[in-house]
Amino acid sequence: MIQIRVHGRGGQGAVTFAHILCASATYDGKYGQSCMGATVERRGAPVEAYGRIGDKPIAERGVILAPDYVIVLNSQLMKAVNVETGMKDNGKLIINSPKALELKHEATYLDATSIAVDLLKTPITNTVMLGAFAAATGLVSLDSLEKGIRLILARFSKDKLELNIKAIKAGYEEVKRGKGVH
Amino acid sequence: MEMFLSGNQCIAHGAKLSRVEVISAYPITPATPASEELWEMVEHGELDADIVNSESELGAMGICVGASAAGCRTFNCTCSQGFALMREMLWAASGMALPVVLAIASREIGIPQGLLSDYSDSLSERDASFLQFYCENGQEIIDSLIMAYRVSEDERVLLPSLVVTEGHRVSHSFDLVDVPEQEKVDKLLPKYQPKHVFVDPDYPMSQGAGVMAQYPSFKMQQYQAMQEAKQIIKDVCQEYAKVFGRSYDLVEAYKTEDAEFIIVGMGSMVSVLRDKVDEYRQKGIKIGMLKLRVFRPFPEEEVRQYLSNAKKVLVIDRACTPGNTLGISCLEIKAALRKSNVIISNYIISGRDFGGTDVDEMFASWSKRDDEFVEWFKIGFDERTATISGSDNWEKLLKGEKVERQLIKEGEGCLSKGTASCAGCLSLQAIRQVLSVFDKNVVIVNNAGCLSAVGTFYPLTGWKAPFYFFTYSHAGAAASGMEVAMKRKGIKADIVLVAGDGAIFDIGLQTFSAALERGHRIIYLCYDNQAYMNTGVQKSGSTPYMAKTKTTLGGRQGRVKNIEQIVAAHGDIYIATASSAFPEDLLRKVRKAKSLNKPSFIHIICPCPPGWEYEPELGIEIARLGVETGTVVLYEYENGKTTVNYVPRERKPVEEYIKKQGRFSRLTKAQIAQIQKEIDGNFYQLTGSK
Repeated sequence: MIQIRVHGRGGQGAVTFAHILCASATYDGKYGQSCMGATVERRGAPVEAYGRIGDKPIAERGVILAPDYVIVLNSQLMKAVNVETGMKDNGKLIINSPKALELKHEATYLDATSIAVDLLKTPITNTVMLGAFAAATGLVSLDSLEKGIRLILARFSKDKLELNIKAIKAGYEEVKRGKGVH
Repeated sequence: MEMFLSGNQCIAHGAKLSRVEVISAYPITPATPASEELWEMVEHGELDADIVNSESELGAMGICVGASAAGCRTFNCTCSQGFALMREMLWAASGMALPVVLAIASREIGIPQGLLSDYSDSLSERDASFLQFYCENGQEIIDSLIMAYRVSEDERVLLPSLVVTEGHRVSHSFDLVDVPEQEKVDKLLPKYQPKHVFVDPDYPMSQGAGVMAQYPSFKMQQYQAMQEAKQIIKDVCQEYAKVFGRSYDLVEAYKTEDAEFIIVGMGSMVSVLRDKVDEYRQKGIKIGMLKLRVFRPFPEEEVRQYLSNAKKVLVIDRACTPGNTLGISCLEIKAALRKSNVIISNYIISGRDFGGTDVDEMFASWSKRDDEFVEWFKIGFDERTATISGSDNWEKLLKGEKVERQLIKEGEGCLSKGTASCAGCLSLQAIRQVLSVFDKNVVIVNNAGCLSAVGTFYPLTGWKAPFYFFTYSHAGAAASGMEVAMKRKGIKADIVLVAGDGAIFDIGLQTFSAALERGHRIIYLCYDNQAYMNTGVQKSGSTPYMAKTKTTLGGRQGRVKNIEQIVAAHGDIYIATASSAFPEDLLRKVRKAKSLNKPSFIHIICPCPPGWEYEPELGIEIARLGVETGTVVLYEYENGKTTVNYVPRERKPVEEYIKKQGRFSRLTKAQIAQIQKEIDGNFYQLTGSK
């Protein structure tokens, strides 16, 4: 079982990131389970969401203390939160940051905010980061991500949904082009 | 059909597939999203039900009981203190033989206010004659809800049911779920047609009559119906398995036949235990697992059947009953196994998450020990609990050491900076402004709401003045009690009760009204952001006409309470309205309230960025437009005399106020005209000008 922890600020879509990712994994024939911690979330407060992906039904629930992957939707958050807490030794990070940072674990960086602002006209980066996650880890296919987002965001308007699918692809390509990989 | 759903969505789907007819809704974390999902289903025409926003959980359960007594299939979803508040009506439901089904997304009962799931809410009602089903995952929630209605409505049972899941851990986690087909469910669960309680003027019946010597006989019937329910649950489970292929029972015994060690658990921990049993079996350890799926009626025979031959049994409990050493389920397991020689030990884990490593640690210790023990697992005394008052100096005080206290002076404010409110929170700003008027001699009393989550969250506190959080519904009474006691002890301080609109207009109205009537010298401050914002924007009594919330998706309909008139009806009270955009007016009013020797009520309209849907920097502008359009009228009222404090030179059309807020984005011209008309009328009535 692969464990994924997503860090963001309330309102940036960390929880939705986990839901779309784990729903998408089910289209690849895997089992996915996403959740959030028991917290009081306010807009702008540090938020964590969790995803588990495995080859058999997932038994454990709740907070992930020892993640294989850590996603950071907003690198400014790293001043307040140690996102590497509890990470497995060979764990990897995918970080929304235009430049590399000093960390103990291997990390992939991309400027997801610029891509999101370009495409979505808002600095909400979760869909860009989903694409980046797929490219960096190969844990979920781009096709499945598209199916997953259509499922989870079914009540979005068509235009908004299509734009977010574009954002997934843009994040995917950004990492595939090998930009900023460390 | 396979769907990727959260536990709360499964609750909604279970209710929908059961074709519930009347649903009551009142927000409480973490059960709220289930009600929101049901509102969506009704709004989109996917579910033909009447869904009613109530003023409290007591009201919500009252609606269920009333609707069930009138012959409808009814539903509500709640937890924690909300469920505790329902208590009286729970006993009414079972006493009147009403097959109401409630879903519980379990959460600890405060105080302290927690958010973890420990079953203390549902298990503390184990004597209310509700059947209780504990679910492992979303799939089981859907299946159990459907079966619960079938069992509850069976004429040999006629008792209400609880379908319990874990808050957050299950309610907020998404899984792949097989949602049953409606047609098949309809065959299994036909329309509810009660023969015992209904409304029919041609066949009048009296319900809820008083009894004297007959009460024991009624109680015995309830007791027997609960015993009979065991076989009926088993039968319904078998029927369900034939149609949907998923087998359930009172318990699930997993690899117990030859097991020397058996672990007993409930809820989502069972998935972890099942995996671990497989793993340990591969190592040659003879271990099994017993899942307690139904807690009421308690499956005594099954417990005996599956556990009697084990050498050792370990019961993992989420809830305890202080005063008895054993956890609640262990207590019942022991009673069932009273004649056997099994060594029964007990770990209490309360609301902790539970994973594979926990099983390893438990097994390592338990398998070596031969004694019967009861222990709290990895839960010890947290020395910080002693400093929870917010004064880190408490320990020093206890030791008799000298402590320098930080006291506030007038104008300084008794809530420090850096609290965890949303960006642009005007409620917090208003509270800061109000409290800046008081010197150190102020006591702040608070109902549940945004402020209670923002001002202090253990182990931190932003309060420099005495701060007391009481429950949602009873802060008015608690503040009254404080006032009486403070007088008695000669403590001279102002009491300010800070409450949101939900607390004043809805759930806390009863104790607020009683406190006003008694005339305690309390300053009541209502920071009114016009919906339940702390739980994520649900309709309150103050939500304006046509405003969209998650429980008024097409815009709020019907009447809106005039709280000033309600307060005024209590006699000599200083009443004032205020706006975030007019701080000097607000401060003057608070100073006046402080100077008076009688109750005061100050009602501040506070725009809320996430709830009203606007960018945080626009708050003051919107608040100002509220006043300049006449939507909010700044005035004072005392003993029959209204004094209007501000009349805009030229009143702006309400559209200017409305168009800046996303919650009004779908209004038609006719609806805006309707709002304008109402505002014009109200403005004229208060100010005498047009």
